Amino acid sequence: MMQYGFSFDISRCTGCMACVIACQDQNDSEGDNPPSFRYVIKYEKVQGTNPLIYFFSISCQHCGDAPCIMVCPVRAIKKRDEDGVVVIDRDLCIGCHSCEMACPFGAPKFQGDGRMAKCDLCYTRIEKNMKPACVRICPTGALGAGPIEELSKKKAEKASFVFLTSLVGDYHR
Amino acid sequence: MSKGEDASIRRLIKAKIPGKETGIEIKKGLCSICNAQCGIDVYVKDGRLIKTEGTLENPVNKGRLCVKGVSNKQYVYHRERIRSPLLRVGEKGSDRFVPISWDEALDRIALRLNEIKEESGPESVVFFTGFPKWLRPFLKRLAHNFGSPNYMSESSTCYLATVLANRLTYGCSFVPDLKNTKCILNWSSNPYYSSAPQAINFVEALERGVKIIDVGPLNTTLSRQADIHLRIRPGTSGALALGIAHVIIEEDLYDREFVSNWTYGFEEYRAYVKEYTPEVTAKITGLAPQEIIAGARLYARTKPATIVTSASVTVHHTNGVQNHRAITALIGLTGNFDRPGGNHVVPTSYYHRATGFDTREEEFEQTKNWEEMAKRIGEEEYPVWSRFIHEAQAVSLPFQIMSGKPYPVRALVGFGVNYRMWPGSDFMKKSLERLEFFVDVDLFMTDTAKFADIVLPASSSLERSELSISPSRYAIWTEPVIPPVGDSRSDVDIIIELSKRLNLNDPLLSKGHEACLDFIFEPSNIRIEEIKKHPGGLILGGFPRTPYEKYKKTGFSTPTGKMEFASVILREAGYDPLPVYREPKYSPISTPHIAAMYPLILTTGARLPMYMHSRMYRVPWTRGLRPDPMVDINPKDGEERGIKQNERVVLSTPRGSIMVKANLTEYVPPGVVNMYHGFPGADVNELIEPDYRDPISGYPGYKSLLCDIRKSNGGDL
Amino acid sequence: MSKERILILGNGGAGINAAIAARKTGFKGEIAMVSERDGPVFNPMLSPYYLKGIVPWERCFPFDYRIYKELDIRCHFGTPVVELDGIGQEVTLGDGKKISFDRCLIATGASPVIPAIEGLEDHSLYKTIRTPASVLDLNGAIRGGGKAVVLGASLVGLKASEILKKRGMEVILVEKEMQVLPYGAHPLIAGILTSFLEEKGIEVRLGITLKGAKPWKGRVICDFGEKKEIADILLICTGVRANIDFIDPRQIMIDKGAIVDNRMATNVENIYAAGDACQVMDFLSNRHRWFGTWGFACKQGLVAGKNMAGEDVHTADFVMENISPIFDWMYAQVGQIKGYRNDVTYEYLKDGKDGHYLFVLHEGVVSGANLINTTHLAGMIRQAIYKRLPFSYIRQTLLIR
Repeated sequence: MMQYGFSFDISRCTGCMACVIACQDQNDSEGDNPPSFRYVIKYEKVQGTNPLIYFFSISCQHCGDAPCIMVCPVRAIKKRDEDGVVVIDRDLCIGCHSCEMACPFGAPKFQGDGRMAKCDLCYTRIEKNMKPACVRICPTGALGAGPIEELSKKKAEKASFVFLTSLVGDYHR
Repeated sequence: MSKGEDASIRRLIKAKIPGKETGIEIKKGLCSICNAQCGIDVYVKDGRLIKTEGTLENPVNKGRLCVKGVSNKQYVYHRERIRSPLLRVGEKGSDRFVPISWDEALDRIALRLNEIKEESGPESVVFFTGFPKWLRPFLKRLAHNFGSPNYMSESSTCYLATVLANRLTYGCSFVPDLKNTKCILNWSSNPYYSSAPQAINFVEALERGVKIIDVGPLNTTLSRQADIHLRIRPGTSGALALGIAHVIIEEDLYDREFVSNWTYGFEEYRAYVKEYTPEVTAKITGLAPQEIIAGARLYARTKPATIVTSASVTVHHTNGVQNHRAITALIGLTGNFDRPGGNHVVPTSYYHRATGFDTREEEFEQTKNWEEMAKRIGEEEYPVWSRFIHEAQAVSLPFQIMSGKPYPVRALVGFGVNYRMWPGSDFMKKSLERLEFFVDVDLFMTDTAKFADIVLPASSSLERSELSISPSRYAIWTEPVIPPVGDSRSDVDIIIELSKRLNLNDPLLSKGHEACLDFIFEPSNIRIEEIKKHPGGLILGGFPRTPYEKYKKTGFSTPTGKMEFASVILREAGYDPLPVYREPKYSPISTPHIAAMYPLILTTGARLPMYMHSRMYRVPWTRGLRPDPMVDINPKDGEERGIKQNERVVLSTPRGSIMVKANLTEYVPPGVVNMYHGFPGADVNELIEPDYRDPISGYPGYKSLLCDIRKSNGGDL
Repeated sequence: MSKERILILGNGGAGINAAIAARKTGFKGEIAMVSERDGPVFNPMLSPYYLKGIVPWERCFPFDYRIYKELDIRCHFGTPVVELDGIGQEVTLGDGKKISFDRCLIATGASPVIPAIEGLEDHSLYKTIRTPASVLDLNGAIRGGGKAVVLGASLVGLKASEILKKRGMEVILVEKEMQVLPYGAHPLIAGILTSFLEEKGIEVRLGITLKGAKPWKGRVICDFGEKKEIADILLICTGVRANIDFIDPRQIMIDKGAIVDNRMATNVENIYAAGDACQVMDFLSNRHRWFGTWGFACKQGLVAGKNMAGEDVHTADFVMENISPIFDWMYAQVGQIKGYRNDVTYEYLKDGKDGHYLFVLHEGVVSGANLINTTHLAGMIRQAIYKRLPFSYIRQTLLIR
């Protein structure tokens, strides 16, 4: 099975938030609609006397073994065979937030109607040879997307597969 | 259509895929939220903008966009957009207006302005433009045709002081040659936030192994990526530059050939920088002597090296012009002037774009000689500014409105005026109340527009046409991509119409926007009609690249014909000819008695990624990223004051206080606090005195003064 | 030699996921399933949503009958397990039938605990929410108007109160402890929730015990000592206990459930347990504890299924979690709030009008959190607990936007 995913190069992320709003613009996240499917967190640490500030852009990671799928009591979350993208059938969602608890990335977002919505990796755009909105906008090229075998070949972008630990790890540059 | 097909088209529409079946079309537009002029692909369905994306073929942004640009949908369709001309019926500032027709509005304006001109001379009417750039040549032409010398702009507090400083030393301006450099001395610029789509140049430089020295108190992403971060105390740039020069001269790392053949006043300069030993400089700047030496060596030994400054950070100090001169003096000192990979002199054309084209922009703008008009506002106070900068100095405007001296200012025709731009912004606000007649043209009913007698609705860049020519000579003429919101009109069309109603008899202007641009670009034989044939833009070919080392043929446009370490013009005007260092007017060293009560250094206005001055506050997407006014304070200073993250604090200077939230962060060093400007209800410019200014340019010392922060004990101030 | 047989006791989330996992792993032998109830897998977690009218009845059964055929499961439904001989590898069913096995999974779930109160021997006096029959029974008993007494301010008790209120009843929520959610919430958070429930029109009585219940004209007289209430519905939400009466404690280690390791294996070879019938390792306390949620049951069933099919997979230790809407609020518990250890400190933060965080910290490291309307951070806080990240990390990365 093909598995698409995001890559993320922490050395290049500046915390500019363009990906956050690009996601909202693509998905019409306004008013009662859910907030951005992507968000940016900041991590600061002092290394010796050197204060370092890092940013991390996070959305659904389209996990190989997505924990949200199993906990969904109505089986509304599925992984697409074509590209491994984790998608939700909003018609089935009952708004129980179990996925919110299961996801370590904070990816499930809730809409005004109480139902979950999430990043779908812009798979329709990918089908049309367009990049996901957040990747397309990224001013420094910190975000990428594609088949994960290809992504994992790029050394700098390996950071995408590590979550919180990479933030407390020793990345410089 | 079958059910399956229907669902598949719905999916394509939801994903906003352009094409016949979805009815979604991509149109080419320009973003005018900041001044970078990024190309945007506007996704339009049924006449409405549904999404924006960077234009791949536009070399300005190469498909990238920033957080602000991608918010264009909410910006353009904001419910606070003004939809028709408005006549104020309530008190000034009350926001009570009634809609009137364009005819009535323009006739009222023309009548009143001509009355005032009749009564007290054309100079009593001021023509001002805020952040919008594209209308500037037109507005200046209108002002001069009207007879007023008082065309002024937001550039009275941003950018032009760097031009002034560079002209004093080199007779010209220059740009960093990033593509060819091996070392970047980045002086207090945060390209990742101020012009994100262009910042890829820095990422690429890093990947090429270019050395980076970052100077500035703030800990930006570039600081983290840099080889050396010289984290100076705000306001001490000049001292650091002199200290670097000291090391370069002492260690014989300077370009003797360039210095002896092409500079003036070197001995004077050398004698002056002798004082700025690494130890002395370290004491002033807060750095360690070794850091200064290491920075100086890296910059001077790596060839070629370029200096990057920002539009205003180096000059937003009470010693701003001299600080900036001290920094840029290093370019000549190390022989990096107008050389590949150094700082390249590229003539600017059409609102400060370094394209290298010959234009008649000045001829177009300046329809009367200064001698034919009254003295400009600020001319007496800032003679050197007035000599180099062909605008009035707006920082003097509120004083002249209030005093009526040397002559009364009675009316203001403004485009995007924001009183919060001024130091002591409440003083500017008061002076607005004093005006007899105020017209403001804006997209939104701003706090400033509420003081206007008549407000005219301007359209956004996506509702009108605009020309952009980038430094890489890519030219695009945009057509409106969506219909104007409400009854709004293009700024230039408003100016042209106003010119007619004022009976100014300007045949060229009356011919319209395109004809005026054809006139401006005539010397380079660029015609709008040709550019129009390429809706996606084109590279203007057939023009020679701007060469390097032009000074070898032409010399420098300074009184001595050389680069001036000691400026003849400054000496004549009674200023220090050398790029001397002076402490900020308020600093722990210059005013220890004030520092005893206000021990923290306040620096303001550093870019946040989601805001562009005040214009993105009202946009829900960008506002959502930082909803509250927040002051950055080092965790150590926070701890000393018992302040926790997000707590309400009072930020105060001797002039006043504002209530904000605390943001504890290593972004600022201990002892320094950073506050973004222009927040309604928490405007930091109110804390700065209206005359806290640089004596040469008049620029406010926004980036270095004194303050204190304490925990709020409730609703007090 | 006949084919290998996996026997699954119980037809819930844990049991069905074990069967799915075993087949996915490539198990070709026989899978047999025993269940006291006849019918497809029922998800008890969905019953509040059914009772609120959000989910139709048929969707409370997330897998339909076809799954047994697809997975080739031999079903012995309609009769309980009465005895499990782990050593002899054989179970005895209620109808006397005996089934032998190669590997067995105990996934019999849990049932409501009915407190030993005078009058409650009469099952017709009270309702519960657990099995399909009990949910339908409760549903049928709710008519517009009338009074309901909900006994036990557990999360189920709170949700039930909401349902009954929304369906037009006067609701009295009674809890013998001095706070609602006595096991999952910090008193401060419980207080906020209590005020909220009261605002929504629910009468919350704390520190009150039910002394007895009596039938009266088709209603129930609930005796609280000083006060009596005549209720149309008495709903008991005082907790559940594992259905493990058939286990011989001399063979299989049990506490509140069958004790299992991270492979979901009990101390007896070839006997596994998963879901509400088992107790797994608690990440925080390093003790075996009962974690009764649908998601955990499914996860544990999956791991047990794989291991029974011959793989060797381990789960991580478990961290307590609970998340649920209560009226238009979202409440969550992550990690341990009470009874973890004594040397903890608390950090309470408010976020906007109705947002609340309460963190439990041990030496600056987060060990638990109560969240009200701030549950967007629930999963990330859970992750932070697993990573033993300091609270300062959460403060500066997650709480700041």
